[in-house]
This record gives sequence, C-alpha cells and structure tokens, in this order.
Amino acid sequence: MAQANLLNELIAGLRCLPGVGQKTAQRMAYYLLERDREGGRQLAHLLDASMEKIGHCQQCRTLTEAELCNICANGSRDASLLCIVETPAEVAILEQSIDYSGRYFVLGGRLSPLDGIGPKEIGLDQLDKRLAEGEVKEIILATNPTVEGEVTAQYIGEMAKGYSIRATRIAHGVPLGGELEYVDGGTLLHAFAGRAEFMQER
Amino acid sequence: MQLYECYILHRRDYRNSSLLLEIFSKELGRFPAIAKGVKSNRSKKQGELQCFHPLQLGLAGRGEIRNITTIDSERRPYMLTGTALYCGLYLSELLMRMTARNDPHPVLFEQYEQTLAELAQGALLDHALRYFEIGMLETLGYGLLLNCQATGEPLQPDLHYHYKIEHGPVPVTGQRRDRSTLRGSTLLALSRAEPLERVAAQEAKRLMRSVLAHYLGTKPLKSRELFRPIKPSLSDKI
Ligand SMILES: [Zn+2]
Repeated sequence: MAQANLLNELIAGLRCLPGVGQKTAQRMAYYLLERDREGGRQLAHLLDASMEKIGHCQQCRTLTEAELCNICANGSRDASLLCIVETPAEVAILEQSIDYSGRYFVLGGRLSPLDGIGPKEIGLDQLDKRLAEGEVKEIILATNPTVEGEVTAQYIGEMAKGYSIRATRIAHGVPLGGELEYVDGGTLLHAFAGRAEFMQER
Repeated sequence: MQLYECYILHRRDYRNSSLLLEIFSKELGRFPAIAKGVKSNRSKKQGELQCFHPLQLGLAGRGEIRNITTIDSERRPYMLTGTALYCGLYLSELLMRMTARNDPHPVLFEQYEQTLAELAQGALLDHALRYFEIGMLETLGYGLLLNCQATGEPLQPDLHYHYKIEHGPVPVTGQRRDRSTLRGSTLLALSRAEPLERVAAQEAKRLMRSVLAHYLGTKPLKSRELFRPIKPSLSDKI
C-alpha cells in the first residue's frame, strides 16, 4: 500500500498552494501522474532548485538567486528614487504596469504589533542604513491601504524626514472605470482626503 | 436579527477570500470571527472591516469562532493619522492583552470609543492614553488609588511617593527619590483627570508603565516599538 500513501501525500502536499483545496489537489495529482509525467518531473526539479537557491537580494530584499537582483544590479536604474513595497510580488506587478526607473525596497510584510512584527522584523534597520548613505532623494511609499500599511508608511515617512528625504505616498481611491456609487465609504473617505490638484496654475 | 456594536482589533487573511477577525464588542466582549468571502473583488465590505471603524455586526455560529452574517457601517471610521495611528494600535494591543475572550465590559467599550474619538480629534496623545489606561484598569477591577495614600491619609502635593502596586502611594524621603517615584500633585491631577504638565506627564507615563507591566507579565507591548525611532540612541516619545 506504499503507493497509495505516496499519492495521498502528494495530494496533501499540493494543498499547501494558495487556493488549492482537496478536490483541486486531487485533480492536479492525477493529471500529472496520468497525463504529464515529464511536466511533473520538470516541476519537481524546479521546485527543489528554487527552494534551495532563491534567497533575498542583499540590497532590496526581493527574491533572487544572485547576491543582487536584476534591478539592483542594473546601473542605469535611478538610485535616488526608492519605492517601498510590502512583497516581492508587488515589485513584479509594478514593473509590469508602470514605467518606473528607480529602485525598490521590499519589506516582506508590514508593521503589525499584534502579529509580533515591529520595525526590525521588516528590515527597517537595513532601510535606515540605506537612507543614511545619502544617495536616496525620494522614497515612494507603496504599502497597502490597510491600517497596518498606513502605519508602516507613517513610520518610514518619519525615518525619511529624519534624513530630509522627500517621502511620497501612492494615491488610493476610486478604481479606474469605477463609479462612486459602487465604492465603499472607507475608500471614498481616503480618495477624498488624498485629492490632488486638478487645474494647475500656469 | 440582533446586531452587536463592534470594533475590529486585528484582522488577517483567511483562506482565499475571507478574513479572520478579532472583534471587541460592547455586548459580547472580545472574540474571533470569520467574515466569509469579503476579499473577493465583488465585495465592498473589505474596506469597512478595518480597525477603528464603528461597526454593527450580525453573528451566527455557536463554536469558538463565530461567523459574521451582517455588516452595517453607518458610522464613519475614526481617521487616525500620524502618531495617533500608533496610539490606536497600542490600544488594540492593550485590549488584546488585558481582556479575556467572551468577557464583556460595556464600560471599557465606551472608554475605548471615547479614546478613539479623542485621538481622531487630535487631542494630546499622552493625555488620552493615560486616562484610557487608568479607566481600563478601573473597569477591569484593578483600579489605582490616586487620591490618597495607601493608608488612607491625604496626599501632600509637593511630597514624593512610591506607588506600591495593589496598595497605593507610599511616601518616600528625599534621598530615595528616583525614576520610580512621583509627586503628590501628579497623583492628585490623575485622580481628577486633569491635564498634565510636562514633568507630571512623564511621571504618569512611568507609573502606568510599571503598573501595566505588573499585569502584562514579562512580554513587552510590541506596539511600543512604533514610538521609538529605529535608532536606539533616541529616546521614547510616548
Ligand atoms: Zn535588489
């Protein structure tokens, strides 16, 4: 019965993926075993190698197997602009969506005292050193619009102020193509508080 | 269907599209609850299920973890900004650490709400926090003796006292004055909920720190780190 156990273990193992429940895991396991063993082997190999070799960039803390990630290693990126994000996934999204020539710093979380996460746990001592070096002229706070994200932005904003570095916060509000009527009150409140100049004086 | 007055103390993602919340309710005290499906794109509720937002929640389920069935948020959230935001998280942590689950304290709920309102209005943060701490201890049955000595004798405004926890102020002689002692005038001001001048505010902060440490045990409050700059050389603000 060893084979049946292994299959069960595989199904249980697949369930560690986000959004994958028992049924989906079962479908995945049977699919790989019956239809695509080569793909399965390739995946197993990649998973193993990734878990072994991918670490964090020494400068910005995003995921990379090298000492420095592609962005940090790229000398043509503007080192005076530093965008602060919560996760490596957000770096990828921003890179795909906007034309940004500066660099990043990845917190790997957000300040959340009740989860035991304070400034040190999200690498703010490392960020402090980076700011102290004097190369950064503006930080762009791209933490999420949750209470914890706001607290994090606030704390880092104060750090920047201590070094007389300009701090900006990305705007939060009504989604593009959305209508005010269908936006929740909290989002509206934020959008209103963060309104920006519309007709610039010449 | 009954709705309960609630605040969210803590939230975390749960499964794909749900939230696991720690709720502080006027009628039911503190308890965990799940808000199913609120993280899906179609739901407007996720933005409302935030800390410092007065909510009316409908609940179902008898187990330890309840389910949220109705979310009513007619009132606006208290908009805490700057250092007041840190104070808000400090209050959440205090309530998490000082209250037991399913142990209702309607008065404490009102004290919390009142303090949030003060923080949102830009009140003196020190002042708002100290009187919340004092009120909370009183409500939870650990009230401080602030208007007389432990013996019942009156306090002298310009004498120094050591606060003996669970007893009260004990006079100290001049030589033994140190960081743990405070003036009679500060104790009297605290007993009357008066505004505190600078030195009195520092004395009150030290008093409340040592009293809270007694009830919280050895694990320090994590939110205090927010009030400290990342460089340890600079001193605390709150
Ligand atoms: Zn990097």
